[in-house]
Amino acid sequence: MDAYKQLIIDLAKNPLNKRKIQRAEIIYSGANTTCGDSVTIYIKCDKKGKITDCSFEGSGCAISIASASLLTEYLKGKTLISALKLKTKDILKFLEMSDLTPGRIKCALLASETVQEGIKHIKKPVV
Amino acid sequence: MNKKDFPIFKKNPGLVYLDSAATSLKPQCVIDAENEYYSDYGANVHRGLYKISEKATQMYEGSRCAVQKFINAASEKEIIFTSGTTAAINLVAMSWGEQNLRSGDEIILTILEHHANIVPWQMLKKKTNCVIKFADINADGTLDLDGFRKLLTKRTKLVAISHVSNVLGTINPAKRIVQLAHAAGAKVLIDAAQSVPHLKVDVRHLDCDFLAFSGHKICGPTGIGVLYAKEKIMKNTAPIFGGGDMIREVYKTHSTWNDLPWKFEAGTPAIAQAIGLGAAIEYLEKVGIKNIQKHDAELMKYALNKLSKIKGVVLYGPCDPKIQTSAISFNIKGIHAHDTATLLDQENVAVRAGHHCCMPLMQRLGITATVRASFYLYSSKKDIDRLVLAILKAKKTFKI
Repeated sequence: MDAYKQLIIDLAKNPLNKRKIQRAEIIYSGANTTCGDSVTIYIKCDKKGKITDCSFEGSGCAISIASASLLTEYLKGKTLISALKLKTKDILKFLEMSDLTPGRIKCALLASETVQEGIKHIKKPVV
Repeated sequence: MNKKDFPIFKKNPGLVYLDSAATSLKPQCVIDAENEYYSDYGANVHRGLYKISEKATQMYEGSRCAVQKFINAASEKEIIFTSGTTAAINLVAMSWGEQNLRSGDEIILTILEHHANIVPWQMLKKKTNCVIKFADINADGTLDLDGFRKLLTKRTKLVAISHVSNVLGTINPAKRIVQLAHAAGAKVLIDAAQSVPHLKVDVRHLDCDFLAFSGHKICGPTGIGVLYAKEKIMKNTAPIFGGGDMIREVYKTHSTWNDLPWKFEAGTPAIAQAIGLGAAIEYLEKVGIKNIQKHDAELMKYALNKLSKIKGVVLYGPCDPKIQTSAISFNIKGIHAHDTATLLDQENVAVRAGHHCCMPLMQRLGITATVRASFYLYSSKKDIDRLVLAILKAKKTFKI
């Protein structure tokens, strides 16, 4: 297994989209208590449910930060519904982390699970 | 040292196993002893009147005597087999604790404690409304003994402490703590899970009231551990698990209890595992506890020296082989502990990363996780060298 491709290390050191979004429609936090990874997701979307901006704040292992970076970049321009439809294998595939050991998969999925929980908990329906 | 006695190294050549604080590897003689019970004389204990049952009973109770001698208990009545350290501590909390603690009584723990020596007391607090206080550590990870002394009051009923910290490796001054606690009228429980593997533990020298340890951390099987408890205490404590073997007579209306230690061993015990534990103790005594202690101390000194020289490695704990054994916790600056552990695994170096079941300690240290390297009698200086190389490679991978 070579999870630590250069991309992951570079993203861990210089994450994409690591910022707040003012007046975001969705703000939601998640954490892996066993390892101390935590993330807050910000999603700005239009009335049709299309994601116009997506960002995160948080701290944790390289895999959790890299996957939050890649996911927030991927979700820009996608719909909330398509974000909800993402499955574990899809996420690991587009993160290029399909060969992670089971112990580290939680780290890779933290951002996506937080996004999906955030969308489910949205107060005003946007679709 | 002694790697050839451990078959796992043949099956995993090149493995550098540095997680002995989580569990120890098993020598062939322990595996054989457990298998021999099943293949040669695997009957139930205590009640059979035929040859192999008598042999099983003799071997099972023989292990109990081996444990008694190993920790220098006064009598085999003071050795209760449990499924491990956690079960042993829970047993004390749920029997002696519930039957003796009243609202407002105090329990003193330390901020170093493993969850197994925190959560059962929190559960007891809910049932009895007792008070829990935490003794703090100094900046170097040693116990603040003066601070501990100040926590003792007339209402302190129990002091529950780890003998050796599973995160920082700190060796606590257990005998001194017992003296102080007894002077205040409190009983003492020692979590010896990390001390029994590495140090000569003598319960009569320590004069503790309860002591708990696990078989699987001293080269014995999983699923077996020991509660040492003073006879005069457990004689007056009611059992909490009822069933066969812990009774003398059962009527429709009531039952009478068996003597110690069986009063606290309901049902068919972990026979094979107890026999395996006896074989583990025999193995350790053959190697020599003093030799193991000397070997561990040398490795600790070597490892602390090597790791402290790597730029960017932060070491936690006393960093003094005289008061530290079993474990070294560290982090590489700029790399999360889990990333470090995964990178080390890629070099076939097995360490643990996380909070090590000591979340209050992590919070006290202001961190979320550490990498922990822990060694035992089968670990070598070459293992430490491989750890160092793996750390340097991890730094290179992360361009630190």
